[in-house]
Amino acid sequence: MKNIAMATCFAAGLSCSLPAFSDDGAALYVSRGCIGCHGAEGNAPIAPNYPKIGMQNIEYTVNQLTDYKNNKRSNGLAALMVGMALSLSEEDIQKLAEYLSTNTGAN
Amino acid sequence: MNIAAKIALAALITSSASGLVLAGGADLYVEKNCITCHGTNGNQPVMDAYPRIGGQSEMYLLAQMKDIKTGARNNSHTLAMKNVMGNVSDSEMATIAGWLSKQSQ
Repeated sequence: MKNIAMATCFAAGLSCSLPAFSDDGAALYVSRGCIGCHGAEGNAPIAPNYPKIGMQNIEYTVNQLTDYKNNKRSNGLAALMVGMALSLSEEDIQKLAEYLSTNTGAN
Repeated sequence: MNIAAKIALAALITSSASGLVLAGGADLYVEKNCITCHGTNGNQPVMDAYPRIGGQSEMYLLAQMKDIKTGARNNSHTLAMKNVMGNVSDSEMATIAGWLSKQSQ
């Protein structure tokens, strides 16, 4: 679908940018390494002291990622998350939070 | 055993027995006002900026409560939590965390 839309855009000689698709967050979740610690769909963390993050409220997740990025949340293992969040743009954070909020529960 | 010792023992048993009447996690979740912001079973928070906490990892929940109480975690909306945590002991936190972790996510 994306490809068809892009091809149509290019064929028409237009400068195109695609709207955000729901799978962008899913792709980011893997490519940015979130899955490495938080597991499938955010709800299979690899250590018992790591949080489940799937099904979480969008605004809460956005706030936490933004706070990590800006060094405002520093408790526990925050140093790990600060490193992960530094390279995320505001748009990335929003997409990740939206993706995570739609995931199913682990139990 | 002399009388004084018996009285002391009786007093000890009485105080121990009353100490054994511990509130469960479900009760503490209401008594300590967690439910006011996080809603039924931890998953109906009153604001989108507040987290869903039912079904969350037990160790993570306990660590956050302790960190917010000590001020080690002070980001975003943690001030309201800090005020509430001032009235919750470490053992009560553990009881609440255990109960919450067993709720449906």
